[in-house]
This record gives sequence, structure tokens and C-alpha cells, in this order.
Amino acid sequence: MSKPILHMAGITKVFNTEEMETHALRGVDLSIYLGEFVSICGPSGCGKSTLLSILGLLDLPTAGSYQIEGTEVAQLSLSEAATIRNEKVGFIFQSFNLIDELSVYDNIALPLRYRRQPIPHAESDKKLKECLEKVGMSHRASHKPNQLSGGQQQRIAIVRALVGTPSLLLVDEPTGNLDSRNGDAVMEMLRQLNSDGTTLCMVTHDPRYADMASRLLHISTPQLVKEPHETAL
Amino acid sequence: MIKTKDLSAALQSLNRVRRYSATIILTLGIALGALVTLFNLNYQLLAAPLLPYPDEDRLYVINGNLYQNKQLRLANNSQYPALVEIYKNDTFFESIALVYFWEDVIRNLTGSPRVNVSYVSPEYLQLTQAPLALGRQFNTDEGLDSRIPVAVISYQTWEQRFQRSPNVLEQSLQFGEVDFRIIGVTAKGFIEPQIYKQGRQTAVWLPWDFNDTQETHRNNWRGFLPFRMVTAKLKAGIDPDSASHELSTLMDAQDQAALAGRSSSIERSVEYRLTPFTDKILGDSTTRTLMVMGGTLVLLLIACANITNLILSRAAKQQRNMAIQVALGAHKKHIFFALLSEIGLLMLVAALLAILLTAVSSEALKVIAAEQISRLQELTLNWPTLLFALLCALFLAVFFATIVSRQINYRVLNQMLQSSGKGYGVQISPLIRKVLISSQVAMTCLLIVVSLQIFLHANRLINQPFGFPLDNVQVLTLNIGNLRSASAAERESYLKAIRQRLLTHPKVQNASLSLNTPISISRPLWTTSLSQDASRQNPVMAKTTVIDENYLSILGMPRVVGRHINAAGGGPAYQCRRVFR
Ligand SMILES: Nc1ncnc2c1ncn2[C@@H]1O[C@H](COP(=O)(O)OP(=O)(O)OP(=O)(O)O)[C@@H](O)[C@H]1O
Ligand SMILES: [Mg+2]
Repeated sequence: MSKPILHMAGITKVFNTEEMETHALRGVDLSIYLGEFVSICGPSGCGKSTLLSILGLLDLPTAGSYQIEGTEVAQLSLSEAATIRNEKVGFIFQSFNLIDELSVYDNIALPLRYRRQPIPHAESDKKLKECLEKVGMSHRASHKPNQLSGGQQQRIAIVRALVGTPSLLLVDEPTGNLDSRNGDAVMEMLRQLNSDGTTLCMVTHDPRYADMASRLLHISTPQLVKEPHETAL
Repeated sequence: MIKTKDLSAALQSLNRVRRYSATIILTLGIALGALVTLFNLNYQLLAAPLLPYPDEDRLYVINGNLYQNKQLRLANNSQYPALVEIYKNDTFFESIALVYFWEDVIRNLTGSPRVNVSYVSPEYLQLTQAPLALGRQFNTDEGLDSRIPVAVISYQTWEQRFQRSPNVLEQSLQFGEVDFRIIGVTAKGFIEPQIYKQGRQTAVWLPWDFNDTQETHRNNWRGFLPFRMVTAKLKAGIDPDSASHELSTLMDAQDQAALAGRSSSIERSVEYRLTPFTDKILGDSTTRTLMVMGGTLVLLLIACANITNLILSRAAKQQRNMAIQVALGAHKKHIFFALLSEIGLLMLVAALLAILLTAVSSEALKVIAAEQISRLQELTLNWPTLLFALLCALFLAVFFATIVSRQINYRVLNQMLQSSGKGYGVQISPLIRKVLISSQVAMTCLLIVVSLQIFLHANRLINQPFGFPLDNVQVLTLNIGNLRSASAAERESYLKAIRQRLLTHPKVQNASLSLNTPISISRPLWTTSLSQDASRQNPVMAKTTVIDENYLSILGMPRVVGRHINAAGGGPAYQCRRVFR
């Protein structure tokens, strides 16, 4: 394997609420390599989404070291972190997180709007239309997300994660809201992306899809047991 | 920077919260409208190219002041002969004019209207380069001692009394016994300098010779008369203070000469001061308008505190969207400009509303406040005012956007994105809430206290007892017309006859002849110097009027000592109401 693009050592996340401290993650050590397809599974509440948001620079760990392409994340400024999120990371959320007030087209255009180098309108327009075409949603471009079905929203969320051509794609339960036919289609898309070179890190409950990964991580209890093992490929 | 994409997105999202948008636009539009109106007014008064007259910085009003034992005893009253002397002095002035503001009845028009009349020397209208709609101004042949009965009327008089008939120039106006031929009509746009009283507009200008000052006063240095003054354009390069000083010295010498031979222990001196047109015209109205502007500023601050609350609440509702944008790589500046475009649009519309309100309220001010505020006639929407309104809007937009974006905690926005939606990215800190609420309360209290003070003061004035019952007392103002030229005895018997006629009316209980009513605004009493002993020590300046024996009993005025004047009086008798020192 090549060098790791992400490296975590002793990552701990504690949520402090008024009533109690929640230890969502305890001492996670994890390296993800370029081009890998990692899947993370474990019971509800064990900290999968938390781990993913730390990986995607949406949250900071309470303790431990996390390096992305060799840079210590804790040292990044807000705006450096924003730039990395925008240019290197694509995030597909468990709950889609589309903006209801914007049309499908405007939703998927968001990552391009935040580029440091502005992309000419014609170029971005072409790209957005192609992406919508790929997931068969061109005819829905001007609809609002709440006018779409769950599966359609999921596809739009995927397109939004992909338009910026990220090198790392973080996916939280991509098939949780879909029937098996739609789920299969989504998984097929992700697999295709991975074989095209995108590093993929996916949380899933579904063992069928987990097995498609090149590496399976299992988080068992709120106390983390880290036992990464290679799946037989 | 703000992109068109931001603007159209802002427009769309505001369209979804119309009530919120309308509340902000109305609240701010009205509060800002009040401030902008006052800005416009103060700009006009204080900063706008001052007066619409050529060389306005060299235009002065000259009035007399009387000092006794070095104390100012009488201000803005002049000796008639002194005014004429100054008028004839040509050392300091490029141009100089006499003017006397009065009112009289036009006897040959139906209804005998009482109008504002100004007796002027020919230079008066030239000083302000009064434009004409018809005819001509007075010329030098119609100057002092020419006694040519001509008149210039104002555009308004022409419109009101002659329906703008073009043959007005063939007509004449009768004042007293004299027919004045109309020779000119001032143009519609002419703004008369209101150097005597705010809001007073002359209807008819008549030659100085015809002013009603009695012959005995015309050469009398002892009388100090109001309403009469000199207006002058100083020669370029002459210092007004030294001109004032030299004129005063000259007039004082004349005054001393005229009074020579009178023994008096009072040291008396007269002063003739040059007061700039601007000071006379603005008077003290700028302090008032600036104070009101301060009030509107407080009002705007209260509105802003309210709006901050509204905007923060909306931001709290939008935090999920902001969190999504941040997750997708939006920087702080992206969020800020998105906020700015939304708030900026609201502020822009509010500013436009404010400008509209300013235009409307300025017109309203002209109608309701003409006598309280100077130069209202000239009031228009100035360019700097438009700029001011837009700058206010820009400033407020940046201010609100900054406040909101500072309330966003970018570190915890992520929590909004998890399906459970725990925590909040925008939390209005309790401190901010406290500051907002307490500042609103404090500013409202301040406004209430100040307006209560003003109200109580006004209320005291309005309800102040007159000191005598006025319920059944009516005032009848007589225009003595052609009696003006009659002898004093003739006048008296005529007035007494009128009184007798009045008494025959069943509803009239009693009637009195007097020169003045006790509380009179338009015609102040004259002022006489009284002293308690023959040596004329310690004199008092007393407001004086002439009354008959019925006057005091009609008004039920209490006597402190002595008796009322009786009909048999004959010789000079004084009734002192009370002398305050
Ligand atoms: N903002 C927060 N404040 C307090 N506790 C939190 C917060 N976010 C997560 N937690 C807690 O941390 C633990 C891990 O939550 P997380 O969402 O990562 O679980 P998960 O493994 O993704 O579960 P699921 O499979 O149901 O999505 C949970 O016990 C959760 O209650
Ligand atoms: Mg989860």
C-alpha cells in the first residue's frame, strides 16, 4: 500500500452536555491509504458519525492527533479547513442535508461556489448538468429537495459530494433510506468511483455493502475496540 | 464580494419570509425616515449653500441696542433718525436699504384684508436681487423723500387677490388715504429673507416714505422703535466688527448731542451692530432642529436594537443551512456576504422608504412648521441627504451582518448536520440579549423623560393663568384708516363715539379704548424709562400702553396700591401694574 492520506492516533471525542459527559470515541488509531475503500460498522450510538465528521474536518477531536496529508488538523485555521473540505473532501450525510430553500441545481452548485479559483459559469454549468444526467435527475434540476423522494434526495446528495471531484469521499449510511434496488444502484456508483481512484470511507449497517469494501472497521461498543482487519478480496 | 447569485438567493429567501421582511423594512424605514428628514432639514439650515442671495456673506442687518450704565436695556430697537443717518453713510457699504416690517389693511379690496406690509427704500429688493414675474422694482427716483405712491406685490398676493391677472399693473392698492400704483410682482421663486420673523412673508412692499412712524418720532433720538432696521451689503474687505464699532461711535455721538442739556445721572450709550443675515434668518431654530435630530437618532437606535433581535432569531432558524454551507467548504466570508446581501437588500428598501418619507414629511413641515423653523420654503431633498440615507443603510447592513456572523460558532455548526440535530450553531448569547433589551429600555426611557419635560413645560405655559378673567372679553382691532392723519383730539372723539355705539349693543356690558391688549404677540407694547424720583436715578424700563378708565376694570386687574385712573384724569397719569427689577 502507498502512504496514508489520513492518519489518526489516539483520537478521543467527549461531548460535554449539561447533564453528562458522553465519550463518543476513545483512543482511535486509524490510517487510510490513497485509493482505499474502508467501511465502518458498529451498533447505533457507537460513534461512527462522530468519527466521520472528525475525518471530514467538521469537528475537532477532544484529544489525539489527526493528520491529513501530513498536516496536523488541529493547527489548521478555520478557513484552511474550509478550503480542504471544499476541494479535497466530499461528504454524504446520513440525513442528506440538502438546503430546502434552494433548487436541486443550486444545491449541487454550492461546492463550486466556494472554490478559491472561481470556475467560469459555462464550465460549472456543463459539469453540473453532466452530473445530474449521470444520476438521471436532469429533469428535476429546478425542483426543491422537499419535492423529491428519499432515494432521489440521496442521489442529489451524492452528486453534490461529487461535483467538486474530491479525492476523499466520506459517506454516512448511504443506503439507510433506500430500498434494495436503489441501494444497489447507489453502491454500484460508489464502487465505480472508488475504482476510478477516489478514496472512500463509508459507514454502513448493511453487511452486504460493508463487504464490498477493501477494509472493514468494526466499532463495537461506545468503548472503542479497534480491530481493523482486511477482508478477503 | 457580493455576487449576483447571493443577491438572487437573498431575494428568494426574503420572499419566503415576507412578514419578517416587512417588519424590518417598516420599522427601519420609519425610524430612518425621521432621522433623514431631520438630516435634510439641518443640512439645509447649516450646511447647504447658505442663502439664495448674491454675496450673502456680506449681507447684514443693522439694529440698535440701548445701554444704561453699561447694561443692555433694550435690544433690536432703533432710533428712527439713526437708521436714516446710517442709510446715508456710504463709507462701509456697497449697498444699503431701510426696511420696516408692519401690517396694514388694503382698503380698496373686498373684505379689506389685513396684510403684511414692508416699507422699504428702493435698494431693499435689489439687495436680494428679487426676481420679478411682472413689471419692475422700485427705482432710485422712488427713494427717500420722493413720496411717489407705488407698490410691489408678492406673487402670492397677485395670485390670491388678482387671480394672476396680467393687467394688475394698471391697478392700485389703497392703504390709509393713499392709492399705491402697482408697478411690479415678485417672481414665484423669490424667497424673501426672513430677517425679522420666521415664516413672515411680505404681501406688499411700499416706499419707506409712507411708513406710519409719527412725524414727532422721525427726528426724535429718544424713541427706540421696533420693526425698523437697515439691511446692507458690506464693501468687500471691510471687517463687520470694526464697521459696527465705528457706526456705534458715530451714532452715540449724535445721540449725546441730541440729548445735550438733559441732566441725568444715568450713563447712556447706543450701539448699532451688524448682524449677518444668516444669524438673523436662522435664529435659534438650528438648536431645536439639532435636538430633534438627536431624538430621531435615539429612535433609530431603539429600532436597531429591535431589528438586531429579529435578525438574530432568523439567523438561529437558518443555522442548519449555514452549517451545510460550511460543511461544503464555505468560508466565513461567504457566510458573511450571503448575510450581507440579505440584510443589505432589506436596508436598501428601508432607505428608499426613508427617502420617500423624507420627501413627504418635508412638504408637511413647510405647512405646519413655517413659523418655527427658518428657511423652510427652500427645503428640498438634497443630494447629500440621499447619500446620507444610503450610507446609513450600508452602515446598518454591515453592522447587522457583522453582529450575526459574530454570533455564529463555526466550531459547533457540525452538530446541526447530524441526524439528531443536537446543539445549536447560532446562540444569541444571554449577554447580547441583556444588552439589547436594557439598551432599548434605557433609550425609550430617555425619550420619554425628554418629551415629558417638553410636554410639562408647554403645558405649564398653556395653562398658566393670565392673572385676570378673559372669558367674556373680546378684542376689537380698529383700523383707523384716514384718521391716521387727523389730529389727536379728532381721533380721540372719533374713538369715543365708536365706543358709545358699541355700548348700545345689548350684549356689550362695557368697552374700553386702549392701544394694546394685555397679552399681545404681534404688537408689543412700547417701552418707557421710568424712575422713582425726580433725579432720574435707577430707572426701570417698563412696557407701556395707553388705556382709558374702563380698561382695568374690564380685565379685573388687581391694584396693589392707589386707585384706578378716572375719567377726570386730564393730565398725565401712570398706572403701574407691577414693576419687576
Ligand atoms: N453534539 C453532541 N452532543 C452530545 N452528545 C453527542 C453529540 N453528538 C453525538 N453525541 C453522542 O455521541 C455518541 C455517538 O454518536 P454518533 O452520532 O456518532 O453515533 P452513530 O454511531 O453515528 O449512531 P447511528 O448509527 O445511530 O447513526 C452517541 O451516544 C451520541 O448520543
Ligand atoms: Mg450516525
